[in-house]
Amino acid sequence: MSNERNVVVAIFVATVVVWILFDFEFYAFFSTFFNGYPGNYTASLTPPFMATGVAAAFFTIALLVYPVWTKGVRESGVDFK
Amino acid sequence: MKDKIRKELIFISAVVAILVGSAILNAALISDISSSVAQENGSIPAGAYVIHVTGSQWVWTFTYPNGTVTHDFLSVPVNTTIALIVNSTDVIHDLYIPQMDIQAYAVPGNNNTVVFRPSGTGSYFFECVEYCGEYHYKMTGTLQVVA
Repeated sequence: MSNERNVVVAIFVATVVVWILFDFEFYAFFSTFFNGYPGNYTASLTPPFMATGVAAAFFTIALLVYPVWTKGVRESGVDFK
Repeated sequence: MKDKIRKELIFISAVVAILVGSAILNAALISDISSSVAQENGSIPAGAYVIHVTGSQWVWTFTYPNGTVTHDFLSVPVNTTIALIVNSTDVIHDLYIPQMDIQAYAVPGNNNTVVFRPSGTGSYFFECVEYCGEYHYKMTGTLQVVA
């Protein structure tokens, strides 16, 4: 149980890192793209929302893939058991 | 069992907190940029440079305060509040300037107002994003922001 909890916590921490990275990434992109009001305002406010979407996707996919990746056994060449 | 309920409550609380926080931020955004969301007969800020925009199949026409008329080409001064009063002569069009983050429907008989303020000189792309007929794809143009 403890190990499983550690895995989930580790994935969550990685998710937070992903959120921060994408927040900066989106802000950098939008700051370059927009060149006036209200675009500038949008550039500063929307990145956290979009980063949340990416981070949520990362968290979900990581939780889904982790047990398959670590415990799955390849059989018949295609399926993970 | 109690532990499960506690975890469920923590999860639900976290989701609700994120959703409520997002809703508050969205409300703040919408209230702050309300003048830049196209509105019928919307208010025009004092000192704004007012340009009348007419969409017609398949050209954008811009009429400046001094009477100058241009087609598919909009030239505005930098760091100036611009108010576009958008209407149409035939079908519904939709003026979209991505890099200013503004969009306004051009509806026959309606004057939709949208406000923006360019902060950098350069050439930007605009287009009609409402399918308006055979040559809809030709309703594109250039926004020139000059010093």
